[in-house]
Amino acid sequence: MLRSLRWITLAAAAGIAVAGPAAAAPVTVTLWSWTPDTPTMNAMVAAIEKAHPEIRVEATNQPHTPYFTSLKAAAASGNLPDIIGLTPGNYTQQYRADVQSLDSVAARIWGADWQKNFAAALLTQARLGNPKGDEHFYMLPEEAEVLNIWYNRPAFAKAGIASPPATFDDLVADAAKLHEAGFIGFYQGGGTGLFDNWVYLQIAAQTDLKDALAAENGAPVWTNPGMVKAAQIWQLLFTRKVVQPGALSALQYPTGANLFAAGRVGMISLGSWWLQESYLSTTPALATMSGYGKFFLPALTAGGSASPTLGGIDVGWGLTKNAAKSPAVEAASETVLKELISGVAEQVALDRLDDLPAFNGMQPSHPLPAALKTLYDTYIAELATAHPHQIGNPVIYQALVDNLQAIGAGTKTPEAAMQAVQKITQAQAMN
Amino acid sequence: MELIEKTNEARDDQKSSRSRAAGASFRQPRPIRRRGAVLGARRIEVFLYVLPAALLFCLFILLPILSNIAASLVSERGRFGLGNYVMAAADPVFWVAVENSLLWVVLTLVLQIAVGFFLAVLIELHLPRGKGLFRSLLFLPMVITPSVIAIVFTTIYAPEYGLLYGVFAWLGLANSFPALLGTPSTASIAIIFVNVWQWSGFFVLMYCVGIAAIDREYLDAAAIDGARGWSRIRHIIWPLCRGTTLSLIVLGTIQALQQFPLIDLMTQGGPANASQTLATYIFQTGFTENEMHYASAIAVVLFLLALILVALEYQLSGGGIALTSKAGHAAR
Repeated sequence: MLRSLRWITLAAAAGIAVAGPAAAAPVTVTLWSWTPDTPTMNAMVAAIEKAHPEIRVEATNQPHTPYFTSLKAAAASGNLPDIIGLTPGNYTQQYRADVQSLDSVAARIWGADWQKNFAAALLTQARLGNPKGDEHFYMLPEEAEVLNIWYNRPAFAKAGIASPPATFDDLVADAAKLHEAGFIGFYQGGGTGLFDNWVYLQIAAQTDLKDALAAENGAPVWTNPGMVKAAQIWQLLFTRKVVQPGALSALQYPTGANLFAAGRVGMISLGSWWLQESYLSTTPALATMSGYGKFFLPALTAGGSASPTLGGIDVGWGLTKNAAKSPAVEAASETVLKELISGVAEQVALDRLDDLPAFNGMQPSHPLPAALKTLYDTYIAELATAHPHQIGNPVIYQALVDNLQAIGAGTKTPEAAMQAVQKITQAQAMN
Repeated sequence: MELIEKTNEARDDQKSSRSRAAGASFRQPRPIRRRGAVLGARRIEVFLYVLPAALLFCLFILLPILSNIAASLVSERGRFGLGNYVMAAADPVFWVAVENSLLWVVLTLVLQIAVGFFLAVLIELHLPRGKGLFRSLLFLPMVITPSVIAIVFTTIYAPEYGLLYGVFAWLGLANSFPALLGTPSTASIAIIFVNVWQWSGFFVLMYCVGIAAIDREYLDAAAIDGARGWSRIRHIIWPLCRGTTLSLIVLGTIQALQQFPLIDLMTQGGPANASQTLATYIFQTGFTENEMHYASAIAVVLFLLALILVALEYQLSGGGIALTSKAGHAAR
């Protein structure tokens, strides 16, 4: 009996020796975001998994609003994924308690002098809204953006417009000419508060850049003359019929962007991310961007100048505390983070011109058509001097959007609207 | 008129027969000890039947309600009290939301009942064939997801490129085309119309069931008495569909107060909060502005408003709310 048992044990041991060590199962890293678009995200995930067969990435992509709603519920129930997509300021601050400080992680990935890999302005934005004295990074940027107005060259030509507007009167006249020619002159998706906020900030950056930037950081400066002037110009966009009728219920995405891509719109407020249409479309005018051009809001006051560049972080990534549930997941999450920001995943996004890279030295790996390359290079140069474009406090942001809409609807004067935003900002400052 | 008296007599008979039945069971002699034991066992049995549902109700309905009430009593800064309610009372957007919520209840109910009843009468009493087809067609919008409906109607309403604008332009009225969703005074009504379009089919279906359940004898008797056309609808069919109407009022009230997707997708409560209702304002304050405690207080107000309206409707109906399959009989 004992002899049989010995043989069985020996045979089993031999079997194990022949089979060798069992292949380790891949470590799963969970990732949630609202951007980039799902096909691009899938391609990014595939690139990471190809480069790291020991890692499996479970990515969940949702539209902006449902994404942040899910994130809130997941944070409340302690079920956040390992990596989350974030915008700087308000959203990063909401999850500051749930994400890790990335300083030491970044040092492990890119070395002690890792900060030199990002533009200083982007690093400042990444910390927007941190409590006083807290210099940690709770998100690191993957993509950056620049805000501007895009225009459709064939539409301009058909309407007899030789070049983008240089003054407010030009803007009014061009919108009218485009309308006469059968286009929507200047499409404003006023139902999407973010774009009301961005157009207003681009105006305010002209009338009072210092206060505009202070307002983004929560300073109660809304009733200062430059900010009220910006609100008055915003009103003129509606009363002088620059923006289309019914703009306040129109959506920038998907409606506005689709109409612009379809050639129905003359001008629209978008940004550098619009370059992604060149990858998504097979229409030559879009694929090469030869049919499209961009400009900053023209001088809207007598003797003024065009809007300075506004822009900064489009999307960044945070590593949640849940990622530290095991050393294996922690290590795999750091690898994925590196690939998303400066590795194969960002290269995939960049090759599709999803937006501008935040990490220095990254660039598309394929040659770009001439018009597209000019636009891309211009954006990269502009990004270096871009001023921030995000309002840090969600209550102030919502108050601004509501009051801008009220101005557009004619239910409030610019002065009364700015007074209302000021009141809410002051109340927030007291909290 | 004779028929109405007859209907009332039938209702009285039903009541008195119920009383007689109750009295009869009360008079039945039973041995006291045995009756007590049976009642005790019966109570335990009933308790056991009810227990799972009661536990689920407590866990998934009562507990969240209590938890929400508790959250509403804490300010964003952690102070306990009625601060959030005081803040709501001073918040003009809150009052716009209350006003719009009530507008939703009144307009959707009136329109859906009117359209639903009218179409049901047409289908049930005047359509020689194809009743099933029409019922199905009218019910179709109910099964379409609100996001699709919102996109379709936003495009229909859109100035410059929308379907309605095309019609106006064809008529040479392009310049007088109203921006329905982009104008504060019309935004809510434009969305309510979409809701009415979507839900009227359900009301039609319920009224069809209600009308089909009416005893033919009443209709025949009414015809002999000379009640035809509008008179028959007003004096015979409408009163006999009372149970259906009351049920639809309650369901419609709750549906109108809970409406969120159409508003969120079509106007996001705008422009300038003009189409905000309590349901959308809860989402905005809680999820956009990150003020969950304030959002909880608004949710409590919405809960109380729904409770009061439904209780009022229940009171006005004399407790006569019934599921519609029995509606015709319940009214008799």
